[in-house]
Parts: sequence; structure tokens; C-alpha cells
Amino acid sequence: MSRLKVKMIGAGGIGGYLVEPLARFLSFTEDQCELTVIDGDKYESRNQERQRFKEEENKAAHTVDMLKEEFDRFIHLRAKPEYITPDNVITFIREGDIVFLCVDNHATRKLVSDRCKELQNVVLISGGNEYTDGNVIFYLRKDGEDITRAPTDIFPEIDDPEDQNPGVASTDDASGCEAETQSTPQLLPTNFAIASIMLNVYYAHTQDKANFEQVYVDILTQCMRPSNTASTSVV
Amino acid sequence: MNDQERSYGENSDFGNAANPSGSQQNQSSGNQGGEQGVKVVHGANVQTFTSLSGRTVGTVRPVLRDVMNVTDQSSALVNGQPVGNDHVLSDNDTLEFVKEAGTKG
Repeated sequence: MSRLKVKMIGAGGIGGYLVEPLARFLSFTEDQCELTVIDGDKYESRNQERQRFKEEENKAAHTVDMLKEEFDRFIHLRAKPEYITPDNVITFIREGDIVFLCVDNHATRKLVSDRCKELQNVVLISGGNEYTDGNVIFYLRKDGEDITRAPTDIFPEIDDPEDQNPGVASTDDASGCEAETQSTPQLLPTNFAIASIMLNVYYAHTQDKANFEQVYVDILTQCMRPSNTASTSVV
Repeated sequence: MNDQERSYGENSDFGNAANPSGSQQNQSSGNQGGEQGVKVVHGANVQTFTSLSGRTVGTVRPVLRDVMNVTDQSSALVNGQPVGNDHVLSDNDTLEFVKEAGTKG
């Protein structure tokens, strides 16, 4: 039996809430599973209102250390303390992967989306939020064909991002990850909602019920809406 | 697919929002078969207003900013087709203000 390979890219606001239930779900639904957490960023004290950590250490390493205490017996856990970049994306995202994308910039979303489009079979579940709303994109490629559209094919702002990949941006670049975080605060309930929907979407996929390509959520109005297209139809 | 429309904030400057019909509706063919009014979509939120007919997109946008968090930058589609602020709305139209992808994570 081949091992299911799951990659979670980004272990911050959304990924930090997704990873534990994801690991638990995989532990008890998959016989052979490998979960790799990828993030080159480290925790910062100002994010403690939304994220679980004790020290300002690398997010991927800390997350996997935490998971190993409980799930090491059930799934193979790996940490990759690196940002996804054009140089390593081919190594990290491979044929047959299940990819959970929890990053905070469209440049990385485009990089991962473009990589997935090269593969024959891949599942990409990408979450993103603003302060009180957000969306989850479900991209499925099967036998070399798009079953749903890639993030870059739905959203022009992802296809032509204005921000930069933190693994590529220079350290003094004002549009880098850190500057972006400082300028745009986030909300714990929104991160939590997006993480929950990402896991919901994965479950729907495993049940062959994911008949949508994205899900919008608004935590103030308590509305959630799946959509088959970004701009032209209500499912 | 089950009903995915939910209404909220039933009173607005546009009068009462109609209750969701419970039927599947494809925006590309307009708000056919639903309740009278203009269905407005923005991100997760879908609401039908009974008193938008005859008004332009540009005049309803500022009020929808408060009701549905629509921004001045959101591009507008009516029945799936891009329109400008001068487009006049009709009953059974579906007006969508396109919601951009969430950035943060």
C-alpha cells in the first residue's frame, strides 16, 4: 500500500489551528500517512494572541515537535523549516500529494498553484482570510485534467500577485511577510473558521462530495457559501 | 446541493430582504424562479432586496457597503456579465460584487 503524502505549507494563523485536528484525522483514517509541515518563518511574540507557542522558534519545527508527542505512533511526521520558493517547490510538492496551503501571501499561492498544475494527480486546498471573512479554494487535478480550477485561474490577484514570497523577498523589503503582518492585523476566530473549513473540504473530497471549487465564509454574518465559480454562479 | 442562500439583516435602506427561496439558482441566467427583487451576492453573503429594481449599481453600492461589506473597488457583475456603475438593475437580476481571495493566513 502506498503512503498518503500530505503537505501543510504555513503553520501560522490558519495552519496552527488546522494541523492538530488534521493530524488526528489522518491518524485514525489512514493506514499509511506522512504529514510534512513546511514553514520557514518563526513565531513572533505579537502573534501570541492567535498562535500557540512558547518560544520564538521555527513554526514547522515547533509544530511537528508538538504533534509527535501524540501522533508519532500513527503517522510519519516531518518538519521542513523552509519557505516554499521556486528553487524547492518541485522537491516539496510531488505527484499524488494532498497539499494544505495556509500562507499569508498570494505570491506563494501562485507558486504552489502553478506547481500543482504541472502534476497529473494532486489535491490543493488553499485558505486565506481578511479580518472577519475569507475563502478556501479546492483545486483537484486527476489524471492530468483539472476537475476544478486552479487558484490562479479563479483569482487574477493570485495569478498576478502584488506581494512577494517571503522566501524570495529581501530582508529589508517593506512588502515582506513581517511588514505585511504588522500592517494588517488578523483575528483568531477567522483563522479558526478557515482552518475548520479546510478540513471540512478535505473530508468532502474523501467522500467524493466536494462539488465546488471554493467556499466563502463571513464570521460576522455567520454565512458560508460554496461556489462553483468565483464570479458567475451560486452553486 | 442543499440551499446555500441565507438572508440576514432583514431591514435596510432598500426595504425588506426577501426570504431565501431554497431553490438552486444559477446567476448566469439571472435570479429566475426566485422571489421578486434583485439578488445581491458578495463573498459568503447572499441577500435578495425587493426595492433595487430601477436603481443603478453605483447608487446601491454605497449602502451595500454597510449591509454586505461591499467595497468601492469590488467589480460588479449582473447575471454573470461585467457592468459599470451606470447599469440599471431589474427585478430578477443577480448582482454580484466580486470578492477577492483572502490574503492572510
